[in-house]
Amino acid sequence: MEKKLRNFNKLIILTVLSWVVPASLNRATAYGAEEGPRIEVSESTVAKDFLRYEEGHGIRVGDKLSFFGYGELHYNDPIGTSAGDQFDFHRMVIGVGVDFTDWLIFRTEVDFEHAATEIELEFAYLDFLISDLFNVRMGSILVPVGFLNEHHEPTFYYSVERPQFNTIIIPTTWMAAGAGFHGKTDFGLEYRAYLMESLDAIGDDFGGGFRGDRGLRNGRRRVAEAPGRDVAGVLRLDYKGIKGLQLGTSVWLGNTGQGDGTVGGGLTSIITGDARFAIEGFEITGTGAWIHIADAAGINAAIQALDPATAFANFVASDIIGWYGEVAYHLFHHLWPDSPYDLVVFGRHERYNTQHDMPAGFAANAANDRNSTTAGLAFYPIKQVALKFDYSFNRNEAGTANDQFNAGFAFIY
Amino acid sequence: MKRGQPTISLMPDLRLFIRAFLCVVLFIGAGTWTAQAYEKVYLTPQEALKILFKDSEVVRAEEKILSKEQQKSLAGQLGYSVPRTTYTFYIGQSGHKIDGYALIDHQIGKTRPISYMVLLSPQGEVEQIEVLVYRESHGSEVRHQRFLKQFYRKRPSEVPRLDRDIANISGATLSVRAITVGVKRALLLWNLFYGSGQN
Repeated sequence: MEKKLRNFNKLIILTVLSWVVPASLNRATAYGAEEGPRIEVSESTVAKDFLRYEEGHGIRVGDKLSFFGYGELHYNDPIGTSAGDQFDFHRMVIGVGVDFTDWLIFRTEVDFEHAATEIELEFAYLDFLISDLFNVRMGSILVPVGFLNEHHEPTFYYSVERPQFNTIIIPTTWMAAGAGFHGKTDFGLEYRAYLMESLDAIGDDFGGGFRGDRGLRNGRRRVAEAPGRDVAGVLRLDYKGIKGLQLGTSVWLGNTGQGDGTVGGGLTSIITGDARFAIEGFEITGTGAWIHIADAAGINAAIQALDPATAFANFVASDIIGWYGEVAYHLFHHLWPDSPYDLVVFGRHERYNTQHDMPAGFAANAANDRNSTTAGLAFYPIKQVALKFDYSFNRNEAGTANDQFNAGFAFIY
Repeated sequence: MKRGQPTISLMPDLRLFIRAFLCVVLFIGAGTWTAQAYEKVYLTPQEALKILFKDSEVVRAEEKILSKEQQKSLAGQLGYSVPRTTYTFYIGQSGHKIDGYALIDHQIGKTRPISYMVLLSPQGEVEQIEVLVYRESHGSEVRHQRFLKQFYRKRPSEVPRLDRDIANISGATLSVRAITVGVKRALLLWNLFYGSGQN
């Protein structure tokens, strides 16, 4: 084993040198005498502009048709146990866009999850494009709560798996039937306002419903013969008017009892805020969410009533809170500014407690008060492909969490 | 780690895996690097700016974003919709006088994009074009000034048309078409942001 490691070390050093030496020679090109204009444009602005030919989300076929999508393969290795080691082609998404006219378009994505053993309709909607400020959207729409739900392609985040915040707190990927308006102003404000299918707090004999450990996640019905008794209102505002800064906030409000008599409506509110700042190759991100579930006691009783023979103990909370802060640095920004490649090192700390506050008479499970610290690397040979690996230090208040090593690749087209 | 359990030493496996993974990463990286074998960089963007604006005092950049209305208008004039909405215009100035506008853009020849820079006068006439990078094995004749000078003096109201005012180069038809399409787009983009198409 040790000899293998030494040989690998040599191989890596040789390969890295074979890269670094020619690259440094490239950059040694001098531009000669200082005549000519004073160029008041930073190297990175020019480099970013020049590399724009690599941009382009989607493949256009003719005038009206486009294809797009993404995929990711993961290797997960929980430390301290050999259970849970797995390879998973987590997502394979194919999307189609049809521009019926230049003001009426259709977009859809289908996700073949876990090597096509689960199929999910990510979204399918019509957009009536009226003006920059005002457009109408209807269909199965990605719920605009948090910034990741709508932009959840795996090349947009640096860890192998999505942040736990975007799995356990905000149930990404979250789509719902809805209709509403969206648009953006001249000064950088963007909005989305929809009425949407709400969540189902109780579920039924086949599963679903809120849970103590998974929060709202299994309450999503994803337009699949979803209960339509309750309707939610969602508003998201993004401000991108200042260069390098993106601020956002979302509010989601809806009854989730779906008419169940035990529950007084189950009004659930979700409030999120996020801020992302990019400067000199650094990206700093912070986001948080507070979820309040009214009459969680009634919801717990109703879930128990679905199966009176089995004791239900995974109690739904009245309040769920989560947040994370992340710092990422593009290593080549200063080290190799002309590079068409990108290498990102990142560190993230998350706290997520799906049982922050419980209804009277229901006890929390300490294992649901969790935090994670994740650090890793993501390498982009082109903008649309990422090779990633990271390590997560996972903790919970019951001391039962496992650290995890993850590796994988992701692509977008 | 689980409390009260013997520490399972997974560290050697982890180190081996990381090294194996790094090798894969580097291997793929080397692969993408060699795939650029055909790529010929004739000028870097910075070199091109110094050449095109050699008589200016200062060069600065302005980022322009196409609004939905501008996208529609452009698509109507071009006959195809342009997916890219953000363009950086480099503006050369001497004192308060604007000497010209330059734009970096790309257009697919056969399968790979040709990167070029177009310099436009303050009135929106093509003054100079430089091919920055050519990424295919054939058709690079388009980088020569004897071909490119056919585009000079073209303006938004008088866009270049292949086979009428632009002579083809046999054996390089696709790259000739690419440059023609690209220069026409540059003229119309300039017109939308700085010319009479602003309204």
